[in-house]
Amino acid sequence: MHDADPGPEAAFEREALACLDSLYGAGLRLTRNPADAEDLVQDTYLKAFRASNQFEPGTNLKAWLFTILHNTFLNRRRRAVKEPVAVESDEIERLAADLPGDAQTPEQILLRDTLDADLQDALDALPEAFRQAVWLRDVEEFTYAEIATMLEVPIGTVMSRISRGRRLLYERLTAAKVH
Amino acid sequence: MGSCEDVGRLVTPYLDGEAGQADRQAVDAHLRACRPCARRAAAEATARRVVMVKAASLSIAAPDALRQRCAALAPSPKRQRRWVLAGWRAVSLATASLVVAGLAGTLLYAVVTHSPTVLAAELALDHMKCFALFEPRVADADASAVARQLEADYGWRLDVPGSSPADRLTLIGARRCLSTDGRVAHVLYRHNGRPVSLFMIPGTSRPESRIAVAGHVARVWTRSGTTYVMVGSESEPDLQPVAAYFQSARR
Repeated sequence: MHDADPGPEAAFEREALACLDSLYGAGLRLTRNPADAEDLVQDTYLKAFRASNQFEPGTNLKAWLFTILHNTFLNRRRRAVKEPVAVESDEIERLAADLPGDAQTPEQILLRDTLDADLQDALDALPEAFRQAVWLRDVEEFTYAEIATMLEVPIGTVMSRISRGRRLLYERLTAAKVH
Repeated sequence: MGSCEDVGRLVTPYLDGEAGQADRQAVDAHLRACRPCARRAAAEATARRVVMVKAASLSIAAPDALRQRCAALAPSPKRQRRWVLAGWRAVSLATASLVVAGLAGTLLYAVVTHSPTVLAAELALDHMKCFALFEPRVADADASAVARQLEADYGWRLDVPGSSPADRLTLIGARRCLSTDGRVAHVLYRHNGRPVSLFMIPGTSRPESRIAVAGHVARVWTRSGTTYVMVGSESEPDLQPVAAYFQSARR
């Protein structure tokens, strides 16, 4: 396909900038802080525009940008903390595996009664690895394979993070309704 | 029918439509027969639905200022020029394209070369770029917090001169200069409300010099193995007390 007028670079920029809201949303969920999310997104674009020749046309540009966002976030935090990031602790694994025994609240009740702010708080309270996996899948609708590439983890890990994240989220949302 | 554990691993791809037909049938059969697994799957399905249904209201549009800053980073010249003008009216069209050129990484060359004039010229561009593109949000920053940020960004321990009310100088923040591969610390101030930058380049030395470049005044000096470059757009006499303060604040 030949696009004579704007040129491939302009198209790349336009498409990349169209992902801004998504990247900012994911950045907010990662950093939980608007100022840090803005810095993160800005650095992501700076790197993306510089490395645009490394992007393979025909592949998913949004997934590529999310990969840069994720790596930038990890690099910043590694610099700040100066130690490797512990993604999942045994305690979190145990907590996640321990499901509520008789969770019977119907979906309709949660959908009706859950305020956006409650959901946002419940999401933000999730351990980072789970929060990110749930967000990438259920909000951004990436495939398991895309998420696995972004986070550089096996697909099985992606699935278990999504699964645990959702179950923890359910627990928090229903607990908020009971107490 | 498969064990609870086996089926448990298939529930997530089952819900997400990423399971094959055989796996789907196995999950269906198991969930019909096993109430605990069915409850577990229902919990996950509910959380999934809640997030998906509410995804739109959870997503917040990026602020316009961020959109403009990101658009300005794109190499397309038209878009950049428009933004730089909108962001900082004092930047002329010709200067704006120089500012953009400053993003391309020439600063790294200036850092490793030995001419203080080349260095001053590149840092003057970086000074304009940073004030135009990355307007700091803090009105009066804490010097030790800025020093901690620089240490986190570079791993360097640098003394950062704080605000000096007597000199009408306000510290507003610091940036990691991406264009120099992390070799230059850039500390941003306002003096009488006008932008002033103090760049610190550890592990280098340059002869003391005063250079007028790109409508800016640059002062270069070296102390304890670190080169300092002060850049501002005010006149040399107006900037003299600021330079004296920076030099006295240093060891």
